[in-house]
Amino acid sequence: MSGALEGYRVLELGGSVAVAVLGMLLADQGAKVVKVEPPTGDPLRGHPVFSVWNRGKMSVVLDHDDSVYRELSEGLVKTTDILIASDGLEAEAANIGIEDAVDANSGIVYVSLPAFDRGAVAMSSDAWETAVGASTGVYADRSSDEADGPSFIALPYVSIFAAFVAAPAVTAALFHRARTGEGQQVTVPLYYAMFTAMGASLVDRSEVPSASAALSPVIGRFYECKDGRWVNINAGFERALRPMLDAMGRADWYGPLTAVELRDDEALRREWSDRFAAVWTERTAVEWEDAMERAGVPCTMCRTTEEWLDAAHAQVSGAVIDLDDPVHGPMRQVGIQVRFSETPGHVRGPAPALGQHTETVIASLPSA
Amino acid sequence: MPGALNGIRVLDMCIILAGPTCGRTLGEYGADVIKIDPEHRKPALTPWLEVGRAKRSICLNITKPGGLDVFYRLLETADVVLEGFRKGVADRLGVGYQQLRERNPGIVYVSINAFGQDGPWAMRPGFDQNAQAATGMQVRNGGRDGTPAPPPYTFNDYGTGLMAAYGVMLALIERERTGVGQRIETSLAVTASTFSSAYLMDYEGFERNEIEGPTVRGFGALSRLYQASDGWFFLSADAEGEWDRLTELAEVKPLRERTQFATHEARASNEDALEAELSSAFATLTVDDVADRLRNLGVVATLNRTMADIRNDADAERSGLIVSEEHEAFGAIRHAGVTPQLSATPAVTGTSPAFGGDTVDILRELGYAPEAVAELRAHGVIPELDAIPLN
Repeated sequence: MSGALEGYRVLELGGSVAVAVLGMLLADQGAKVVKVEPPTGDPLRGHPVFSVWNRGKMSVVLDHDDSVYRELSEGLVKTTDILIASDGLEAEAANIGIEDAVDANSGIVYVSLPAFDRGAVAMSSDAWETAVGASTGVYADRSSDEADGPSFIALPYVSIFAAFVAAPAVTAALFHRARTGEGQQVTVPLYYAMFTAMGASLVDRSEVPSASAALSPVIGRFYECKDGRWVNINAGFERALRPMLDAMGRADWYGPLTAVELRDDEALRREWSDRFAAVWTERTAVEWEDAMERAGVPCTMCRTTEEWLDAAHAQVSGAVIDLDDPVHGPMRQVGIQVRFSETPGHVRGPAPALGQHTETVIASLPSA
Repeated sequence: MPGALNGIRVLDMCIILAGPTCGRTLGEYGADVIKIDPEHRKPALTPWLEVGRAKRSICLNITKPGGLDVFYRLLETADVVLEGFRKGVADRLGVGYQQLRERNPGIVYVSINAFGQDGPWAMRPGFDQNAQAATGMQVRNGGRDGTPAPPPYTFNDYGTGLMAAYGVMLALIERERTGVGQRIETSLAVTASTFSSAYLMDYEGFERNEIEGPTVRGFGALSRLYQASDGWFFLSADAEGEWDRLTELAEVKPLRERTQFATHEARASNEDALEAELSSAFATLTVDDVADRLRNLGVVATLNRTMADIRNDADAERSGLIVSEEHEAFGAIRHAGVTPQLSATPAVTGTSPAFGGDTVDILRELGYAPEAVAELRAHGVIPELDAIPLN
């Protein structure tokens, strides 16, 4: 049993986060991913996350100044199924632009993940995440009274989401090729991918009035518990409200909490909100989590990253895995994103050292 | 041009956002996606307009007499099944993986849920926010001493749907090779873990340093949100050579003379002072003025936009990122368009069906005569109405 992409070859160019994460998604499902790096190495090599996003890949160093560079690049392009570049400009600089690649390999699936539309102003890829994030509302002020100001998010949601949009796009192209032999270009600008993430926030419907969404205006999302820890609940709908109140020992509150009067009476609403919030202080967050699971109500303690890393469920379910890394030693990191019954994915190995596979990969190229 | 999944049929039994996103994505790539819902589980209109696109809709109750037979007839014609039931429910209903593969061995069966199919929490229900809560996203956004907060978009829901679609593509590629179907699983918690992957790690000597809290503005003085007189922008000027370009701006030029900012190391040791200087320099300028002038100097400066800005962006409509349509059932609507671009088999932005609007057509396609359809109606397997209003 091996991954669904066993036998498929990926050539990965460019040091952007989106390219690295897409390469990881493919490597985790069995593809042989060759990462081409400059002599100075991928800029992400200083960061611990390099060991996560580049696990299972091979590293080949190619120097633009080297006289055999062009021959080697052509050889790599000819023998790959998928080529992933950050943007056309980088690939052009590496002499592996789209026209060259398609000339050399007519069945190639040529993927680019630029920041904005092709042709937009060039900017170095380490600025892409924040430029696209700012453009697409990722750092908007989320406080209800706009007192906080915009909230920065340090994790690369934009780049990772773009890799998520790209993965089915690339493999749709591979499936088409499997059926017809035809390759194609796949372009997923990070800015474009964010419109998929905005999703329902973009929906406008002017002609159909909205039914009131919340079953009770008193039911919120976050509650502080007895131990000072918080829970996130999602229970403001019919199937959850009754079981939740039962589990709280407040079954008789269903009537008052769903009374029509609550919508217009602010003082009454505040009174019930305080009363409802007070119940959560009767038990600890984990006690509530367990009680609500038995009641079938979505309720989760707001954990820290470390707590999730150590959680039994995270480990047993495969959300986190253990991997031996040559730089960091035994490491715990995120697991595989998709599981298969016949062709299970698995992490092929740790992230490669710089140029670790240059000789073996070049030796395997068909001679000119 | 036909899509990459031309000829592939998908039965989508999922609800809410994550599972239906997988169905929509497959439809956008050209599959014939049949959304199956019992009449009494009417979705709200806004999510239907978002994740219902590129599908046909049948209202079908498989627990009523004759209902499961309709499903099995559909299964015979299908390649992919999507489900998001609590663990054990699909089997109980007669639509579990083993039951379906007996009838259609090549079926690709996808299970999407909050916490996966294995482990102590396999039975736990959850939405996007529950996965955020479990994996550290909300504590990080709110700060460890504050109220936990969600991120601005439902990244986990849409991300999980996309990962499920990725899984389907891989399973179809494999089936093309071997003829074998299989079962696929994705979960909100694993998707959320992937977004957090840069922090979700541990090893001996690892120093945990999470940038967190609702009032964080950036990584440092030269990679950060700044407030101009009438709005915010993101300044990115921390790479080599960018300090020289930044200090070409008249209001910032005097900083060049300051020894505390003269070198990269000096600037790193005086972050707070630098941030204060830049804040006061930018505060006197309008956001359009400062961003334009910085960009002309080759410095990356990006307006920090809100949802309102984006919804009103005419360029987004021109690029097909926001689509307006006059819908037969729902009137004037707007929503996102497809975002990936494929040159030979383009993805296509679909439209949402009327809820239950294709019920009779689909039954006819399966070979149900009008009397048989009437009987299904009489038993409550399908609704009385041809299409059910949503709001």
